[in-house]
Amino acid sequence: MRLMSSPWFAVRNLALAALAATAAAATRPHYGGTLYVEIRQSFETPDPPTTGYGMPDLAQAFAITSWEAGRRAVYAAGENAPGGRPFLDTVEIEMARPLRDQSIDLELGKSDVVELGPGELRRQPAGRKVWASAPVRLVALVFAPRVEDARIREALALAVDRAAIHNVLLQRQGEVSAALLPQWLSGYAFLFPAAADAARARTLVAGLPAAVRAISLGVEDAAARPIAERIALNARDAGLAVSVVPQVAGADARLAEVRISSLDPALALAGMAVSLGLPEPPRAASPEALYAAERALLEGFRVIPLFHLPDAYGVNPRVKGRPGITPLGEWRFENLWVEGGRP
Amino acid sequence: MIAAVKRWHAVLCALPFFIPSGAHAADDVNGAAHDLARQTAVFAGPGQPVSVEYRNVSSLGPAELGQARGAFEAALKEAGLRVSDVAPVAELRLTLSENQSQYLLVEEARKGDERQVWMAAWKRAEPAAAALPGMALDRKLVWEQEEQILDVAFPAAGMLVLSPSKVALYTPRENGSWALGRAVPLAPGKPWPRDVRGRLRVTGASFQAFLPGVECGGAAEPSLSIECRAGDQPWVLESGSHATLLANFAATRNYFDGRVATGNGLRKTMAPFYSATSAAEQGRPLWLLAMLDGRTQIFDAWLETVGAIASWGSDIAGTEASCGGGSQVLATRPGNAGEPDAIQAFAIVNRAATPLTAPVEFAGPVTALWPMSATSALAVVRDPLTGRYAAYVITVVCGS
Amino acid sequence: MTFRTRLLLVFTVAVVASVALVEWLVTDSTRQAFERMETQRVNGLVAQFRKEFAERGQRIVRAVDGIAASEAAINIAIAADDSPYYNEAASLAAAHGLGLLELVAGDGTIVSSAEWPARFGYQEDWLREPADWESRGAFLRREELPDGVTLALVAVGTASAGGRQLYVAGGQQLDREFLSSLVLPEGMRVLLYRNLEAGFSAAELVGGRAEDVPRVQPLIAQVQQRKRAIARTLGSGAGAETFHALPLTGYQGDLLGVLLISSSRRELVELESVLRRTGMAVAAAGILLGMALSWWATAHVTRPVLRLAESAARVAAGDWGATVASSSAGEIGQLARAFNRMTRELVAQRERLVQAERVAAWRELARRLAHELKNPLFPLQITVENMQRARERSPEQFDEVFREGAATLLAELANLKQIVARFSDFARMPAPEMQPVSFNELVSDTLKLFEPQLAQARVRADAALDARLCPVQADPEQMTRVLRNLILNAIDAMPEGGTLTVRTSALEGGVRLEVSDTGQGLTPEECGRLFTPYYTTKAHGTGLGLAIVQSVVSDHHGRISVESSPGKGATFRIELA
Repeated sequence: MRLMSSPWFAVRNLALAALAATAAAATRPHYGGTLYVEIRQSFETPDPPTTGYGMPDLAQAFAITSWEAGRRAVYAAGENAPGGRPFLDTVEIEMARPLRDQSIDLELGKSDVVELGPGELRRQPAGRKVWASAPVRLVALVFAPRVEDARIREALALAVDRAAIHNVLLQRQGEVSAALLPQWLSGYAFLFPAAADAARARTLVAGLPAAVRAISLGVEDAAARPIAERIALNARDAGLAVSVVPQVAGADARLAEVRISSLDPALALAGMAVSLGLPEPPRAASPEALYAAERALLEGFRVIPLFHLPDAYGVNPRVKGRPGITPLGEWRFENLWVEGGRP
Repeated sequence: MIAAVKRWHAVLCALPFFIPSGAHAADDVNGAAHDLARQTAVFAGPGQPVSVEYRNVSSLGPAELGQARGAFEAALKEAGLRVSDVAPVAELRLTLSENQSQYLLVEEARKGDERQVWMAAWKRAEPAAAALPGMALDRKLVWEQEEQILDVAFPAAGMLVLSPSKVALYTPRENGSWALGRAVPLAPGKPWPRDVRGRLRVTGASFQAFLPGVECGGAAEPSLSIECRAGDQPWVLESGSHATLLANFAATRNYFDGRVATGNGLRKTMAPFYSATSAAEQGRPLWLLAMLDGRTQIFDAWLETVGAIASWGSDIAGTEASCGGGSQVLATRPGNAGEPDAIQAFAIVNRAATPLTAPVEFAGPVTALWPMSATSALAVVRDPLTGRYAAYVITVVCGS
Repeated sequence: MTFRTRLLLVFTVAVVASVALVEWLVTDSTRQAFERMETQRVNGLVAQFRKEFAERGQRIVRAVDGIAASEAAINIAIAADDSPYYNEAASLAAAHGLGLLELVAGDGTIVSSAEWPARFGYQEDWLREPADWESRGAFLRREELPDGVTLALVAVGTASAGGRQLYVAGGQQLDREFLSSLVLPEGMRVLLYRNLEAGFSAAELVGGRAEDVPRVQPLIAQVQQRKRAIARTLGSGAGAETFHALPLTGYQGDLLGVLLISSSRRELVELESVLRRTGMAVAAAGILLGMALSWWATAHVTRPVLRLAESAARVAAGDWGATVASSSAGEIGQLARAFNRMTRELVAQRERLVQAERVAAWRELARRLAHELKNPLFPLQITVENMQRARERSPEQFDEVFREGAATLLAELANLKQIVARFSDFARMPAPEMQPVSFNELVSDTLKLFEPQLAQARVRADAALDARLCPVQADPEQMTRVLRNLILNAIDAMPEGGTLTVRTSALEGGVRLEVSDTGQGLTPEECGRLFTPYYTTKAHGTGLGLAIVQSVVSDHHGRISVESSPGKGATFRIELA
């Protein structure tokens, strides 16, 4: 029987295999050292986050020793951590770092783990170590309640050419999807049609009064702006005038990102519904019931799923050990160690 | 657009997964096909012709798809429907799919303007271990398990396997496999350090188990028993048939803390090291210690530094096969944990490592390498894909 | 207007007209010469600008060719999967200084667009039209951008490798930034009208100001119609500009824009203004000089005439001895000499006249005196003769006759004394003693005094007194006498009774006093002789009353006149100022 492996891990393995061709030092884990991590997100709270993904995942094996809200966090290895004290002494996380700066820092060796933006996974140089999770982030268009005419929403859903965006802007990272749950989690995502139908979109728009054909699309993440602009162009071809604005507050629609929060498809769907402002789906006891529940949530086109994207991180070659993220994108740094000093 | 096929990492099998209950939980593909065929018969009507299209978006191969197809069409026939592309009353599309815990057969049925979707799922089987190719150095798989293997030894009673949580004694079966005789849990009192290491030393029917901060003594016969206590006893590192090194292991780390004593009573505190072995160069004894900085330092009999080797990994073991100068050092390849590893035999000539054999490749990293006999060593390898550990006896075969 | 003023005016007009004409002729010919020079300069600048514009196109062509020949373009052309290059155009465009750049695969699919990154995958079929892009150079094109349509100067290059092709279409937007980057001489500016919509749209005029739109719109319309270059001067004064409107066509010959190169006429206008001001200054100076000369000439010419006129005026005023100096030999001198002769004759005649009048006056006085005296003397003679007769003939009646005769003699002697007194008064009129006199009060008082006499004469007296009348400088006693004389004359003129009206009215600084009666009136002849001493229409009286009135009025520097016609009474009017 063939072994199961995920494409993103295949990519990672490819990178790792390439790396293996070059000589490195000790093969046994080293105790000690500091792992330098950079992230885009900025936590302005007085205390470190305890829910969500990323930093909260460190709490199992590390303890916070320094917290500068919005800037920097330092975690130290817990001596009594389950599974043993982590190899690393400390994990230093720098927040609010733009993607471009993160890439440069990784290139210069100033950082060990950096986030990779949409489409960057494929563009990593040969030999670059990369960690990628399963496609756990849903990118979707979410309409504000004031957009009442379902024809507008349906027209936009039909106008978006997901394939082109996935192929070019995302560099085939992740997968095209018209479902809330990704295929790997539900097994039936392919049932939701994702192909664009510009002709039908135009027909729907033709029946709309001119005043309602203009809508604003809010996108806060600058890295996602090219996607929003391509959607606006697709919408224009269908007769809708979509203007991309940097604020989501007050916009008619927004480009949102929601994470899969559980490996249980039913729980994941419920969590997603809450995050997207959809009604809570009934508990589903089977894939078929779950499919029906998901279909019911997507009727009306209040939410238009577009893609499922993985978390992707570029990793400094001095970082050793298993991938520091789980398929859900959770951080698992306890089994990482670093070799050599920081330049 | 059909979602791309995704093959999932078997690590998730260890995670809690959702097992659906209900009408469409089948045992296997046949059961799933039958479930769907029944639904289809009600939808299409008895005796009606239906057209069927098949596609596979799972990691299963054409054989499995063929099996699903055969089962479905047989079930349709059994339910009184005909499969025909001529004037079908309903058009069916059957998709073989999967998620991280189940395989799914998804049927989309269209009759006029009416559309129905049914799904039947069955649990995914655990993947079997892959057969691995041979080695140059002769390697033989002796044991494989999910839990980490720290060491394997072969007392007369069978096979002792030292794991972080237990010591298990396996007895041989007639077909060559091993049956679990008895397993004694280990309760260290506090968590093991990461990259926990352990060593078995068998003496007749009794054995010693060396673990970080814990020393155990036990017997394999008449039944497995073991007694452990916290302690800082040095580990006995035998190298070949002559040299012995006593080295203290850091209780909360994965390395020897540097306190050593040679067989001739010399005591010294060195820099910490991962592994050690003896070698002979032109009859002169040498000690080789794989240091934390990745280099293997060469020491003379007085434990004075005489050289260094930079091209080895952190696990070394010594053999004394009659060929190759009479003294060989088996060493892992320098690389990253998680990468495919290799073991190669070297001789020390002029304080430098000279390869003696081609490297024996492994699919994953070598997590333990202990000398076993004069001509063999035990290597434990972790499969990065499945996460399972496999123990190999690496034998230096002369003349191969 | 005096003769001198008229002459001065004539001279001035002549000077002004001739100077103005010369100034205008000079200014106009100079202006035309400047205009010709300006036209040549502007044409030269326009040609230079066209060259600059063409050079921009060449620069774009070089940049596009550079990109097409680059390794990056080759790599994209031969790449099996061009999706990784979707962002490439932006960096290539920035590196080569292009504002617009599209990399288009051989099948017309956009690989990367710098100006509209989201357009990857869309078709640009126009690039696949059969055209030799290399030889076409830079051309104009309508380009679609996220925020609208624009006009761009673009060039197309191709990268070919391994049988595959990549089109490189790059250029610059023709917008305000482009126009401002063009090197323009001072005083020139360039506007661009982008002909992207049917009709005219002010929003498509780039580089202009709001006030340019109505000016250039007709010019643009003409270019749109005729599709050839047109030059016009628009505006007036220092703000005028000469516009050269050049049509800009696309590679298919369609009119995509109109380039308006404007050259300010400010310098020329200022030059002309300076010229004009100088001309005017010179003209003004000339005129002033002319006027000054005219002034001197007219003064020189008219001085003798003036002197002549002054002398004539003096003669008219009574100074008959006025003469004029006559040094000139010309007509003016002859006139002066004639004048002098005339005045000398006048003086002689006046003297003779005065003598004659004096003689006449003496004769008249003697006649009047003889007349006046004759009357009382005759009774005196009769009375004395009566007394002699009575002494001789009737001595018993002599006492009575002597008493009667004595009474008559005394009465007639009194009469004679009165006559003598009147003459003495008339001869001895004193100078008036001026003081402020309220003529209204004077009239009221005088009429009051005459009330019994008026009543007796059955004459109603009306006083129409002007309340605005202020006191006037006069001799009150003399003016009272004047008024009394006039009132007496009026009463005498109405023996049957009538209405006497005394009227005062204020004059500027003076008074008008009118005494009107409703008597039988006077003939014009009588009116003319009325103020002659001893002339009277009355049967009695010395005839001096009105003469005294006239004398008093004359001493007060006033005027007296009479207005009457037979049967309509008479009005005596005295004006003192």
